[in-house]
Amino acid sequence: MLTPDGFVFNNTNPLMIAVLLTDILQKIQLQFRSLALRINFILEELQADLFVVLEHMQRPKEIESMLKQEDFAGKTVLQYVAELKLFDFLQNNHVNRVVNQMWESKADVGGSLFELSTSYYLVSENQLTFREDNEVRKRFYLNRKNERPLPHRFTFAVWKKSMSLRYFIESLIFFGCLLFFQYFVSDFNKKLSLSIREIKEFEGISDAILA
Amino acid sequence: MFTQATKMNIEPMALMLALEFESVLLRTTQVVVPVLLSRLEQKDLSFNEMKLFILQRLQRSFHFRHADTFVQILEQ
Repeated sequence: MLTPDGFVFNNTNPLMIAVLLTDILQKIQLQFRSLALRINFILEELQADLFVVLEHMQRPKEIESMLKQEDFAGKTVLQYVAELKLFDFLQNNHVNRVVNQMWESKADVGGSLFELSTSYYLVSENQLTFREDNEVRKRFYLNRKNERPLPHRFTFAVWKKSMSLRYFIESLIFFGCLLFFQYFVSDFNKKLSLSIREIKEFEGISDAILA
Repeated sequence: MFTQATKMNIEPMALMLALEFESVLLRTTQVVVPVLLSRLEQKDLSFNEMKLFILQRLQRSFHFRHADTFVQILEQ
């Protein structure tokens, strides 16, 4: 079962399998001393198989990704290697190359130490004179000729309210006019009928006088 | 449920159960671990990370016979 073929073909990360097995075996070894000898043999075989597997992997990127892969507890293979003190594993050429590369890092760390400080950069390098200062531009007492206030996201709701208020006021004015005209028209009719009646009476009186 | 998941090779479910109910599984290792070990014994099913991770979590409560069986499997 612990053949290199089994490691390579049946697992996505044989290195992880190897370190997990080593971890379990070492813990069992501490728990049950009577199994120590047998476990030592297995660990030796496991390590030998691991070297064979590493020999078969020629691409450093592949080994690097395997070494950096985390298990379900969030621990990488390298962390396990450090915890389990598998120094022979680290001395392997391929692994050593990858670890050295990781130690040196791909990031450029050249330059002055002070340049890492934001305060230093602001004081020494940052030239505000050639840049537009928003704080100065937006001072409240300055004229805003070119600035147009943008509509708010909820402007539509305001429009809706304002429209309904306008309709309400218009309907109030309409009903007011209705009442006003109703009153005056009825008053006019009343007075008209009264004046007609009075005119008729006057006509009757005048006829009586003239007769 | 854990044993059923293990028997049916639904390892992600077994792993989730092991992570969620670790304390319960640790108290029932006499039931749970033999199933896992029997799956490991089968030749067609090789080791995988999930099974090993579950075993790693349950290792604290291993009985001697579990440890012995595990070592025997690796010795084969």
